[in-house]
Amino acid sequence: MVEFALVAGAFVIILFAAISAAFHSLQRAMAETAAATGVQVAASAVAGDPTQADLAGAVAPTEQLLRSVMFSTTLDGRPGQQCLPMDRIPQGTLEVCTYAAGPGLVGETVRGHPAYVVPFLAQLLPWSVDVTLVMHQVSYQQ
Amino acid sequence: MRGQALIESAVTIPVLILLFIGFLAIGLIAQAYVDLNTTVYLAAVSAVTAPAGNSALGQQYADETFAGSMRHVPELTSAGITCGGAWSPPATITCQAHAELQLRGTPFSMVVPGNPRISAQATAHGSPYRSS
Repeated sequence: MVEFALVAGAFVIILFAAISAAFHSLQRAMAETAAATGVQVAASAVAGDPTQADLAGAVAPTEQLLRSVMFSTTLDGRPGQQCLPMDRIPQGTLEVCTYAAGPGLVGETVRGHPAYVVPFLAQLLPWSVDVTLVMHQVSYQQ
Repeated sequence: MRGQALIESAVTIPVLILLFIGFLAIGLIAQAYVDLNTTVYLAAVSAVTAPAGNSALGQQYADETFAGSMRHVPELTSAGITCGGAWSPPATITCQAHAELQLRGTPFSMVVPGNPRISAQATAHGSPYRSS
């Protein structure tokens, strides 16, 4: 009975850890896809000015993609700003930041701590997401 | 009996630890591949949005995009990206890059010998409405 309880307990913990790790991989991959989508929007221009990067327009498509896998996570869009350092972003919050990354370059960062599917493992497995992609601005020509 | 259990544990536990590190290493390599693939794809898209017919500027756009993103992945080292194809409208540019995942000196080197080398390739098509 004692042996069974030990084995069953260990099995459940390992199972939840495996689910959590698999889900984290999924969330990280989606963050990469979402950032790539967003940075392409940012690298295009705002209506009426082909030289002005669309930093604000990049946030919505990124968040739309992230919502599909970031359950119960607060998405904080920060157009035109760098993200906060990881240790200053609260648990359960993901920042989406778009900014000028140099001459002719735009960047997008998705950074933070997604909420957990398995809540009681949150303290043991501090998963985080930190993806940054940079792209050259599009040139327009007739 | 106690001695036997001790020997069994001494044999089993290191194997389990190596297996665990191996699984983590596979995850890390897969993540590095996704990072490289996305970066190469964005570089190819940048290259076709450079002024039409200007292969030097297209390569520069790709270089800047690639370097800008790779700077945020310190565990990957790459010599750069090469792009080629038809630069005149409608452009079709293919870019490829190789990178090494720096695992030497980490616990992962117990299961992965050397630094794994990964490659990625992406093709992007330009707009036919650009003039040359």
